[in-house]
Amino acid sequence: MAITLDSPTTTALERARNKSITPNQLVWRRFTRHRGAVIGAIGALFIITFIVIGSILIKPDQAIRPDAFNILSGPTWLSDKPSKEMHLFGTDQVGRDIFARIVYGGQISLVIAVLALTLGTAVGIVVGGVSGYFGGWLDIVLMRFTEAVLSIPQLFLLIVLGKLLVPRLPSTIPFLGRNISGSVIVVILVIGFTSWMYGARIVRASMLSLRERDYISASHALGANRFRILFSHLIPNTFAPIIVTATLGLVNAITSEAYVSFLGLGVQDPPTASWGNMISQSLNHMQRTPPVWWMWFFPGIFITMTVLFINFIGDGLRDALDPRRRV
Amino acid sequence: MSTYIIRRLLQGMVILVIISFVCYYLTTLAGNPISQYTNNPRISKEDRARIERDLGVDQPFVVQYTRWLGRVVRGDFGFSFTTKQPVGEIIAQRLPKTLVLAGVAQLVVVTIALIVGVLQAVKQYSWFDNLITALSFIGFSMPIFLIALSMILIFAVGAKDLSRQPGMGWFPYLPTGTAVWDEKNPLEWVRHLILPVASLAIIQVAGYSRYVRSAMLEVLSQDYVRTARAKGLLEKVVVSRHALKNAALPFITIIGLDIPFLLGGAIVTEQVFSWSGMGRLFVEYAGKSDYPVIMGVLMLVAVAVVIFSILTDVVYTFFDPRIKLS
Repeated sequence: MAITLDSPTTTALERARNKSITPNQLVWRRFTRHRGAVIGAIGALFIITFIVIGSILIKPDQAIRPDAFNILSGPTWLSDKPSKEMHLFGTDQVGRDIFARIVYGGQISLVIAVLALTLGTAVGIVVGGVSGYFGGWLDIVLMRFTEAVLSIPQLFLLIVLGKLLVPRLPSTIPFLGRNISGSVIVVILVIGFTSWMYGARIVRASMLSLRERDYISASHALGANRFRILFSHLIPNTFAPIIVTATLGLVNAITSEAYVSFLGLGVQDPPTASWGNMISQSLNHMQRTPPVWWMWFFPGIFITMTVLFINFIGDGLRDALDPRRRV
Repeated sequence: MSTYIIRRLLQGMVILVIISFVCYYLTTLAGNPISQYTNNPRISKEDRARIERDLGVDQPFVVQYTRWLGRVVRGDFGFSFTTKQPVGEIIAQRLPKTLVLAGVAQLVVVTIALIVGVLQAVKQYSWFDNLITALSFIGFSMPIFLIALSMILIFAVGAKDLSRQPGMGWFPYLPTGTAVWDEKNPLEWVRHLILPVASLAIIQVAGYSRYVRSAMLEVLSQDYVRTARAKGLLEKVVVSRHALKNAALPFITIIGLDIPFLLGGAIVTEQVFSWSGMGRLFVEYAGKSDYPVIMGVLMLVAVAVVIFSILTDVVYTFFDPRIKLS
């Protein structure tokens, strides 16, 4: 999506003063002068710090321990009933503390997002790279296939891959000293394999223009083989657009995690909380009076904040990495 | 032009065949329609085998797929495995509701996005522009759940005091599965549409208005706009008659490419607001591995994708005569 905050501006004087800087320094400077990017980076750092410090202070046990006397109680600071235990964000349908679940669910949601994004980007680079570089019938086949997958609603792919993978994977896996549901891997694979298409198209497009450049002909002349040219000369030069697509892919991965949960194919709880399954569980309690809004409000806000900050960073990166934008 | 359309249609056919193959293969991999009977003691092994044979799912994938394709080519999408209704009939029952929701939402979204985007571009970097930019970022960063649930909390079950009594209650809220209301009464339609449409609008206006804004900004800086201003035309006329026409081009493409996916239904919105459209239909039948219905819905979306991408390109040439399709 073409989203732009204020573009970074530099005066002519400054430009003259800073004549000799490397391209990387230039990118860094543009990024740090981008208001949105800085807000996004600080925000993302805040969320990561929140989760890390939370994981140190709160025992993992607190996120999964039910409490029959404290079912669906609202945030302690809003309630006028005295309570022995402090539940900053309230408790869920079996009395588990939502604050602790936000911390531990956040770990899971972010791990899922990062790994799914890595998988999706890797597949995208390989498909797009091979397609763009080798061309010919391989290109036609791969691009028709990409186009076909793009015409299938993502929802269908999520449902089908989820149903396909769930029975084929272990039920629990160790993670940071505790056992989490094996469905986390399913969710990673499902999101990864349904999100490579845009990356593939972008890599292919930049590949098509790059492979006609002189420096590639020079490598050919020097006797470099095709794989060397592809992997060490072409693909590294497509990194700028990939990084931008990847940041936005991270956004997609975080929201997809919530969608998959919503379809009943997400991270299994118990034993494992994620921001997505916290929201989708709350849907079963919508008709309660008084409304138990804290069940979906807090995970929802955390998803929104995370996505917002990543969007800011992505926007800043796009401006910083695009050499055609004004400096 | 007509050779171009014919060529695109032929390419579209190829893509449709690939899509149908991939979808059918994945569908059969993901589940078997008789697996729901496996643990039912009242259905014997022989019965299961007979049901399998009747449905044709005992055949290898290639046979199943070619049979299905053969029938579809003749326009026959078959019968549902579970309800025995013709697939076309099942879809025809649900499609109107999705069309109403998606259509109204899209209309609202496009109208608001155009107005907001143009105003933002005309007053670039004003407080209004900055405010809307900030709101847009928040808008498309929100998962639809958060918006839909907040809408229900505030306006439907509502709450004047968050910890105690329900308030507002301006709009009906139907817990999932209890969607019964008087569908003959147009006022009821309006009452039930407001919250889902508002939820969809908040998310989509955010993205669309960004497109309109950046397209308008680009056009407004072009020479012909300056010429129009130099002629002494009113700013209103310059913006609406000269600039907007050209800025609308990329916007049309985006709308054209988004519309087909609306037919698949807004699954979360439909579920949260108990709107029985295509999205819920699809999830329902996907759960039962009802191949003919699943494939019917998917092919509907796929055909729409192909047709709309051709249509978008053709419409483009009407708006921009410089573009020649070849």
